[in-house]
Amino acid sequence: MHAIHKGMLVLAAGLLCAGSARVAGQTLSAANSLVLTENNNSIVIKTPLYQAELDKSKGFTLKEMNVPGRARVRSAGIVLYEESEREKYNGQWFGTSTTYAQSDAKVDCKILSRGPMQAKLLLSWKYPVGAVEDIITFDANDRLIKHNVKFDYIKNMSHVSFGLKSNDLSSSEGESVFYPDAKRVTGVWNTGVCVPTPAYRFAYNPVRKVGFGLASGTSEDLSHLHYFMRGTKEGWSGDLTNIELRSKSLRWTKLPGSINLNFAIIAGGSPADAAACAVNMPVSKPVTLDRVWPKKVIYRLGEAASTEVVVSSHSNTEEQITLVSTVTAGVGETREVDRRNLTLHPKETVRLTIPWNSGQREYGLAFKTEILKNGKVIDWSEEYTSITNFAPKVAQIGIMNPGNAWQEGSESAFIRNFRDNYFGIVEYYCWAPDQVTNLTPQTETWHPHTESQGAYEATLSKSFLKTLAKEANENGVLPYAMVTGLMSLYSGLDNPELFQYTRDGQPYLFNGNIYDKKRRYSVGPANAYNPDTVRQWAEQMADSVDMFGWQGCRWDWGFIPNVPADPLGLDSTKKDKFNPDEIIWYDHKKRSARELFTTPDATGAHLLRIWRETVNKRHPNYVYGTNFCGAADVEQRIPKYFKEASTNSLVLFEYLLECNQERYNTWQKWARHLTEDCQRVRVNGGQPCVGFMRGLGSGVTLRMAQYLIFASGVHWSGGAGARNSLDDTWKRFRFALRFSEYYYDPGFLLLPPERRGEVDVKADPRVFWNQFVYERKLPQSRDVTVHLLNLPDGDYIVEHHKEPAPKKDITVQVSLKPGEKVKSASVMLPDPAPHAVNLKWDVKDGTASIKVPVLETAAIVLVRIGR
Amino acid sequence: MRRTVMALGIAVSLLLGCCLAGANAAISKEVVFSQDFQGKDGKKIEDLGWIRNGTDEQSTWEIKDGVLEITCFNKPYKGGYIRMKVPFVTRGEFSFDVNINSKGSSGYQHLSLRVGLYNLKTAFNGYMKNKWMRIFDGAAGKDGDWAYMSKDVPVGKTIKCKILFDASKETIEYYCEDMENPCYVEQGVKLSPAADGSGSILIGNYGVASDTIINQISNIKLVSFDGKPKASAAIEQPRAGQTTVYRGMAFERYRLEEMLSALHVNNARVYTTLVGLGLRPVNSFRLDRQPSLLSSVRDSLIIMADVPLGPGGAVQEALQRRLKEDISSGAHLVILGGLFTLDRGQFEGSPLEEVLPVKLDGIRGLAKAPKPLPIEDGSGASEKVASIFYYHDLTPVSNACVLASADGHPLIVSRPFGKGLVTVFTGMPCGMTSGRSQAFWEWSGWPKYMAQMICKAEGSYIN
Repeated sequence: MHAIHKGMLVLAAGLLCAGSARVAGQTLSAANSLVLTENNNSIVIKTPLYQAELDKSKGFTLKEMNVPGRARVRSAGIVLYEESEREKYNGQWFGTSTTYAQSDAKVDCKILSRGPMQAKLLLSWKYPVGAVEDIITFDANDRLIKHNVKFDYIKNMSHVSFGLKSNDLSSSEGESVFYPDAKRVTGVWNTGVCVPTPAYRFAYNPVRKVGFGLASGTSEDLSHLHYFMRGTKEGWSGDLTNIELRSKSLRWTKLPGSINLNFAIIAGGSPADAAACAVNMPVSKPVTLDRVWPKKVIYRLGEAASTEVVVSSHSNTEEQITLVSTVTAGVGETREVDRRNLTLHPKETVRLTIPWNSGQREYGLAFKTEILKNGKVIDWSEEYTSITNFAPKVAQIGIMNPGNAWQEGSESAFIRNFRDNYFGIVEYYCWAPDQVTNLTPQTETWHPHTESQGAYEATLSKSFLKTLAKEANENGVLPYAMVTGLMSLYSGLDNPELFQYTRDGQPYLFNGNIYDKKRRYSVGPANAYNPDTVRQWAEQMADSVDMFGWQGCRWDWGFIPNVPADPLGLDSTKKDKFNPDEIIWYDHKKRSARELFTTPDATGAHLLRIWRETVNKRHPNYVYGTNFCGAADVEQRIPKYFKEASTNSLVLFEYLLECNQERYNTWQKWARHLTEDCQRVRVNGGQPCVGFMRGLGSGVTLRMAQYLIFASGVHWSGGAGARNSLDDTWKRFRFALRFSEYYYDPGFLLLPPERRGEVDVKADPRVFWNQFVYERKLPQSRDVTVHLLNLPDGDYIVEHHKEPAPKKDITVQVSLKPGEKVKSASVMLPDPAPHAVNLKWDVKDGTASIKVPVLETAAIVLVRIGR
Repeated sequence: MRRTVMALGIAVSLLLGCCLAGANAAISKEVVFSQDFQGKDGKKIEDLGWIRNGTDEQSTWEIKDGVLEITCFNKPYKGGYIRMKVPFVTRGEFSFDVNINSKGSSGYQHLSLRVGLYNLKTAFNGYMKNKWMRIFDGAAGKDGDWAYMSKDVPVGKTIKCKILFDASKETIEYYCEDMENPCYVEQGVKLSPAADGSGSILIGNYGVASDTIINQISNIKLVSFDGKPKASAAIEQPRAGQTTVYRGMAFERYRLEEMLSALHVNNARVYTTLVGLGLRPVNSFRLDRQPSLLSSVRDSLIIMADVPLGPGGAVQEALQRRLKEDISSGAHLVILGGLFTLDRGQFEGSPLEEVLPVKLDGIRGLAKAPKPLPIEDGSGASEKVASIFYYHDLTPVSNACVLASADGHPLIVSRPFGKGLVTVFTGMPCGMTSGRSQAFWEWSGWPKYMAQMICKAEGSYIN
């Protein structure tokens, strides 16, 4: 959606007051003048175009803005977000920001001026974090209500926002849209879409012909506009339109600090009136490339692919151009995929779909389109996608569950968020009516087993899941189903032999709760440890793939008979909690599992193989994934199962997510565990991910944690904020996608300890590299990669960090064996966008030295060595 | 024949109810202290006989609008109090109305109002949700010394609180808003007077909340149950025909509401077994609420549908003993079988084992009928046969009566205990309808059938 491109529509500062929004040609009279009235409760400003009421009891925020056609718009005013990142590590995750809303403040209001054509108010208030002043200007014949905000802060802040909400813009038909795109942009919960400022968005109901909006000025202290709508059409109750302006991140600014925000509320009018707020800046290019967007995040090898390209002419004459599209894989392996001539009429915008073939080169690639005029490139834009038949090689993993995602009509909004952020796999957690006996629901709706011990209830529909999976597949965000061996109480009552039993002779129950007078969500582990049951189960899964379109699964359970129901129980650090004698269960004939399964490791491996083979027989591309412990002692205890579960699979290292706990709480400790356990599964073709990651804020901690995870060969499993919001996860994910080969190819193995001395890095001590030295052996050469991370000053992960200064004078040294020579050297860098730079090297005394020009955040140095 | 059985059943129930009335002595109640503050606006609290400890900097006490309004300042553990000497009663009820944080201060995040009786000190604490908690005099004040009776007491509105106690049984029950069902029951606690045998009521300010909190209290009452039972009709009689239903794990299949309707039972008390998280193969059950152990009202009919007594103390021993007393006094306990009850429900070795009409001798393997066992439905032939697929393979005790069999297997077994009865349905609501064999709980006649059997059990023994 936001490729690198040059030239945007912007808002010129003075033009916020432009006459383009005025009602022209009217003489001053009571009918076309501004009237400001004040009473005990409010200040009311009435103009010929709108009426706005500011609520005195709520900080003079907008209580209601009525425009002809009626849309009740309100605002909480300026909201201040205090920094949520803790200064010092204390073993806890970061929490959420403390917020200070104008509507809760004691606000002083001075009427600076009031006249028939204009009124100005000065609002001021203080909070413990700082003081705010807002000068609001109302003009009689202008739809723009202009704000000029100054915030002087004395405490660490995250950001500032101003938003408008309405609960009655649309009917249940969901007819309203946002301009300038004329699209209905839906949000899930409070996550919508963000566009960088300068920008405006105008929410408009074309049936009632009423709307409102927000327009940013050119303040550099603004960052983005966040907006969405949702209503009955998208499976929600009621109707909500939300537009919010947010400031830049204040996280690393000096204290005391100060920012200025200027913006305007667009009070009613038509889309054309709103568009008059935006003025084309003089554009130096006659033609611009506005969008380059590959349809999918992940394509299969040899798949027919497509990329959306949008080109605009800003010229008053016809333009003849040539569009050339290329894809670049690896470091510099470029091929042209499309070339076409195009004639653009004056001021025309053309949307194209460029077809191309994904080819046979696996891993990430850049899709670039250039506009050539008279043989010269006048504009270009680039985006990122990937090619593989095994998605875990390239994907980061997002999660959905019935607690937050069930709304029919919202599917595309959910998938849009994942696609925008370059997630390649989305797991739907806790979806089935019964995870053992019913993976192909025969009813349209059902109540799935929920996590959190049935602490909440949910209803899912077949229609929702099918549409979700379809949208996901179409965008190359592959849908995986979560599976467990937890059977519902009802299935067990129907088939009591399928229960595991406790020593007391009762079916063993994992959880359950009462909702609507029914014992819903009560589940217990199934005694499914025999080949016939496993085959039937796998056939059900294959049927489920036919029904829904799953591309894989992620087991939250294991096939080994005598382990805790919770896969985290395999973690050796939790061994003390689970006395082996305490996890013995019984079958319906009172035989202990220990008697029945004398070789649980072999049994587990055998049954898992049956399950995988049965599903893959019908769906060869289906990917097996599982919650798994990759620690050394687990491999020792259950070697057969370890190998079977980690062979060509996705493995979730849930036990490694707690980088706030003592065991993993520094960059160095966490990296060691991640890399070492990754290597253990990597030799089997396993691709590990870690998560559900949360509580890392949106600053240096999050940034560096993600780069560290990638450098360890591990994928992220968790969420991300909207693209272009303060959470810039999307930037790191696109880098990891583009250069996924160098993070995730199983051929890259850590240099063994006895060979670690072959690589050295001369750099600032805060450049973290020594845990991330890998070698990949190729037929005629070998690749050595060194991942560099620019660590902040503090070693604890979960504490507030200042942005580290860029590091220079970095030299990577690699020992060459006799007869070897360096064939190429390059560095892959994420900023400002993923790119690779060729490097020079020197060789002296059998050691190649490669200088890396600068390290801002993270980098991958690649040295190819041959003979 | 069914109407005759039903009429007989109703008559029996009434008869049982009357037996209960005779069996229970009416409790004598005497109000030993009462303070409602009505008509006393503007008076000083000391004028009403309370002894005040503390200054206005710690707390102020104002009677207005018929309630005592206590302004509690932030004076940690030194917030001041008032005390009223009252006689020590062994059995009784202490109640008061309270409005916590009546003005909605945002600083109510810790201990504020305290209300104590004798050596029992309760307190209201606004940390997270408003809690009602208690500690006994002499305790060090560590975490383990406190018990939490309710973790979600409403603030800003007047609610009723009640403490029912029996010092001789070392039992205290706490009630908050719901005056029928205790929010917390504890046993083995020693309620005691001062050294001279007297006691007092204490109302105070813990003072730990960071802001000034205004609490209101009114209708303080202490009632003694220590008097001799009275025989006159004016004394409270047990409510004839009280029914309590305990819903265990598979309760939905038993269609209990229809069963109760067939028994003409309205307003049954209902308690439900809840499941705790089982990280290892050990279940953990508890009831959603605890019935009162001290209530003077006894059940006449108790139905337990697939109820485990444990693990986790789902039906605690004190409650089991109470149930046994109810049965001895004339109640009819009906136990409906299932995978979680009887030989699988930790009945063996429990106080309730003694009352059962079947023998328990260890946990059996799952008893699956080689072929479905038909229930005689008494309504004539039908296409499908209501059947049992799984059952408890248990032997009746010597004085039990087999009221119904299924293919020779004892299906409904009953025996007298004291003045009451215990009936067990040995079927389990497990399996699936197959061919002509219909799962019994899916049979339309099931609720009425079981209701008839309950009445039949009562009829057999009366006769």
